[in-house]
Amino acid sequence: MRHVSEYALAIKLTELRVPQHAIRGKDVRLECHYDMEGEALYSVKWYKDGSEFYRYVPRDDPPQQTFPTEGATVNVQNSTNSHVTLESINMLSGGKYRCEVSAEAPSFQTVAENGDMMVVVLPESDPVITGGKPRYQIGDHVRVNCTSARSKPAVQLTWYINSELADPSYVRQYPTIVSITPDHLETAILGLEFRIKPKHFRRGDLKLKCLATISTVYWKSNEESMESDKPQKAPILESRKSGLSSISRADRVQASNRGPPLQASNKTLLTMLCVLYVVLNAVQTCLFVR
Amino acid sequence: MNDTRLPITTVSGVLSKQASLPCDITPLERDDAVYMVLWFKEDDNEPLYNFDVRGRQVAQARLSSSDKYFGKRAFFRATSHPAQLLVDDIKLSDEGMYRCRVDFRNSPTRNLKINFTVIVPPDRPIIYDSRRREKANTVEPYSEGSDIALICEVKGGRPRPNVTWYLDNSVIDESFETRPDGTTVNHLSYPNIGRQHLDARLMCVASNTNLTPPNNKVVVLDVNLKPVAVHIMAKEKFVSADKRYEIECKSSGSRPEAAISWWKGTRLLKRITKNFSETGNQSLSVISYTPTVDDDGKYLTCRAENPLIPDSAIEDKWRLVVHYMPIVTLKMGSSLNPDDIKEGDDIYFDCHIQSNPKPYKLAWYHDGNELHHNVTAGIILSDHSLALQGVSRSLAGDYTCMAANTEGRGTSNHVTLRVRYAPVCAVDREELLGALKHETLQLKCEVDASPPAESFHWTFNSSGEQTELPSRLHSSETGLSRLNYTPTSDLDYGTISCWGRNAIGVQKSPCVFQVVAAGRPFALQNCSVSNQSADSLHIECIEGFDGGLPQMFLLELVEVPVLRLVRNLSLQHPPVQFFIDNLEPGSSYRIILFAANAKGRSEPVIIDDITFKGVAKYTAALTLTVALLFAVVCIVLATIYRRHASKNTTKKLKPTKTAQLTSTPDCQLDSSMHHQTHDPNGIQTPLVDSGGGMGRRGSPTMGGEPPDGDETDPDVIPNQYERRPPKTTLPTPLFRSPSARLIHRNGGEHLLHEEERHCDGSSLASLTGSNTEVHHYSFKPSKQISYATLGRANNSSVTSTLSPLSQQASTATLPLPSMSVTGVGAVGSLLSSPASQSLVTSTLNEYRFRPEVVTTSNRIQESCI
Repeated sequence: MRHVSEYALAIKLTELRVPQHAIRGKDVRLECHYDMEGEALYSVKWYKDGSEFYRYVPRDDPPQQTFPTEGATVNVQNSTNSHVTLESINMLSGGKYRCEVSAEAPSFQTVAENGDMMVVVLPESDPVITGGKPRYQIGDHVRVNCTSARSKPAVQLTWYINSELADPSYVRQYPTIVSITPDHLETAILGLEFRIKPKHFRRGDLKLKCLATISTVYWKSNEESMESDKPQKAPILESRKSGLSSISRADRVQASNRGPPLQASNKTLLTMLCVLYVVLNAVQTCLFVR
Repeated sequence: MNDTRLPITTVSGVLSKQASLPCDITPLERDDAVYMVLWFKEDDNEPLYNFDVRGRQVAQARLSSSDKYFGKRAFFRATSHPAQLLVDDIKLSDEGMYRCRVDFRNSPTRNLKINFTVIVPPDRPIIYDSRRREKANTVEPYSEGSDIALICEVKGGRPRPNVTWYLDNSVIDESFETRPDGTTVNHLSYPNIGRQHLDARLMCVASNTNLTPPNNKVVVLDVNLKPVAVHIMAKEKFVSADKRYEIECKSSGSRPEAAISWWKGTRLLKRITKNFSETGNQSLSVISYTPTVDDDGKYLTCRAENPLIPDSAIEDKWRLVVHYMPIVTLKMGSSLNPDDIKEGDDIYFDCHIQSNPKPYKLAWYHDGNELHHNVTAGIILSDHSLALQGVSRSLAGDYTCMAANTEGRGTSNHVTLRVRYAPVCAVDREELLGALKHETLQLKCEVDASPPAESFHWTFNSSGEQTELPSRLHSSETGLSRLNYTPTSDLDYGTISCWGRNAIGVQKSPCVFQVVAAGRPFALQNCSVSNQSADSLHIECIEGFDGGLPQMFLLELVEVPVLRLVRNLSLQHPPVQFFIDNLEPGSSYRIILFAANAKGRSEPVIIDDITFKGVAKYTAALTLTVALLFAVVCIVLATIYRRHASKNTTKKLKPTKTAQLTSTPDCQLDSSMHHQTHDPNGIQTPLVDSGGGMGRRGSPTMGGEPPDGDETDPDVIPNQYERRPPKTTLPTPLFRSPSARLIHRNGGEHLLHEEERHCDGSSLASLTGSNTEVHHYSFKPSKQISYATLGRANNSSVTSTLSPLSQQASTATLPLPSMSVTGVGAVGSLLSSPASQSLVTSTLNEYRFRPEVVTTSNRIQESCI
């Protein structure tokens, strides 16, 4: 019989990499790293939501075996004893992924780790601000809506006034509109209503920005600028677009190091400062999620 | 393995028992096969059990059980469906979440979760009663109708057990509570225990799993039951008082056995009952009961109760109808004073009767004799009373009434009816007393009276003169007076009357004593021979009147026909009994019996033809009768003659036929008889001048009366018989017992003298006491005849006659100095005279109907001549 002391050095599962969000249609690589501590490997099993879809058993021939599972189509060539590649994930690919590593007889020590993955559908267009006027006077009522394009899950909309988070009392929430398409994409709408006060004008300008985000994988905004109705300055209506390209975010850790790539914008300093502010915000958010 | 999507099976095991953890290892595909089974507990990386089938048959699977967990206690049974991990001797630490991983050769791995819980059975329930006493197998008996209150406590158990009460397999109480100390309690309250709950099983069950049988505790109910029925078995329509009855009473339904008690009214009857227990909750009681009269209408109650159950008594009642003999009480009418009832009063009695059933008869008794309704006699029986109209003293006495019913007869107390009446003589006869002159007689006058006579007076009556006797001569006590009477002269003989007096009045008819001069004794009576043998016999007679003097009794035995005197016996005192023996067989005898006193001898009684060769007793009865009668006639004649001749003092008498019949020649009787015989014409005269002594007697009227056939004998004291009322059926005068007289005479001289002195100055003549004067006493022969004749009439077998031979005998035997032998008579042929026989018979008949005895005698005398 064996003794507990024999397993003083037990096998360990050192790292499980399962992306939190994955873009529909893309391939996803799931990684499972372990340390056998001298034990022989009996099996590595991958489960999605409790169902085994891939196993690697060295003593089997072939050692790899896949089991058809919805949303988890394995690219056997791109899979080994320590990682598995899912091809072109779809909406059903989201779920709980589990890697279970067992040692060979006699101990059959078994370690396992779970990771959740969400499948994301990005909006095909930027958010749109509607209802704005070119000129406003102090005391005028501003009534605007921001509407995102369809996505999964629904984008998160946020209003900024002069690059400052709008007072929550100005914000009007509207229910999300779920499309009747098979993938149930959602459209988000957020309203902004307020009475213009002198402080809203900065050098005669009032800037309203709508920011649309999906976790960290999508980041787009739209801004409108309105002139004061005072004669000293010619009114300018300027619309500016900005956004983070939601490129595949394979590695959050790396992402935090590199930061999102900046997009060249217009020449104004204000815009530059604003971009800088947003970038800093994003960095903070990433750190928080982590 | 916190993947919530895995199926979870919940499994329980009981502490210390075996448990089974299921794990389905059946492959989904037919061509697939199990490869490996790994058991994990919770998040432990090391499997606690593995089942390795790689490259082998299932039966040869490689098994391994971790010592960290079950070790040898576990075994994976792959062949069962589903396959299961069997674990022995479950421990509390075995509880937890298990995972079984089944690797198949071709199909996806199966992971199953098993949530295993360990059940710890509770302790055995404990049943307490309301006083927290623990109960074993039975609880103390509950009384019928009471409520059960029991507590069932169960300690421990994981999870906490359900504690439930069952009554004969049905749940009666599921309400239990768990206390902080870990005990689970169910308070049972079950109302109204009944008969049906006897021996019912009351069970407390503690259960927290159905994997093992529950713990339970059973008690059997014992129920005290009330009696259901009680019956007095045989209720008779009625019972008789003082009869013993055995009455049974049965009760059923009581447990324990009913206590049966008997009550009469409200009184408990104790000693006379016997109780028996019978099977099936039955009990029997027998009372030995003797009803009394007072029990009539009362209730006899049989009560059965269970002493353990208050108010459980039930009763059966029997109204007693007691029959009894009538209880009869007699009372004299309340308006009457029982101490003051005189003759002629109307009285009544009330008879009170207590009876059940009613009496069918009521009778009245007077001194034991039943009374009948008789209006003319004044006896009236009405409903419950007796009326007597005009009571006479004959109705005095004890009265009772008697009532009869079916139970018997009841006689009342007796009530004495006292009827007050004036004195009457206790003896309804005259007393005849003979006395010598100067002899003192003691006369006793006893009277009946109510109230008893208080005073008496005495009278002397002679020749129609009535003289009051001085009170100093008599002494009186209650109801009795005594008179000492001493005749001193002929005039002192006569009738003495005694009169009593009480509160009611003076006696109407006095008690009468005839005092006559002493004379010869009367003949013996009722002589009979008995115990005759070949040479002996026994003779017994009754003595007659002693003539006023002591008498002796003589017997002469004469052999016939030779007339030889064979034996001569005498007796000085009664009883007159002779015994003769040593007689010659073959001889015939004649027995002559007579009495004698100083005045002479009585007429003899002759028993003839005694033959000692066979029984020849009284053969010639008729002849003897005739002879007797003839002899009597002759005696009469002789007496008359003698009296007549006495004056002449004839010393020598020619032996004639009559002379032979006479006894002592010196007797007055004899002389007068002789006298009269020889001079029939002088009948009327001789008494007048009879002797010198006689002449002193003052009876001239009597003597002067002309001789008449129907007239009184001219004797000394003839009047007493003449006055005798004709209604007296028995003319026999009462005479004092000769025996007593004889005693009195012993040493009589002294007595006489004393009395003489005592009687000094009395009207009676004093007694001189000379022997010669004795001769002057005479006795009336006619009376003697009648006496003897009457006695004979009752016994024809005894004949009295005069015997010539007896003359000699008498002279020889009589020691009296005054007697002198006058001659020896020869045997007379008179005895056999047929003429005289018929004559006598006729006279007797006549006499029988007429009181005038003397006259009759005269006729006989005449005819005899």
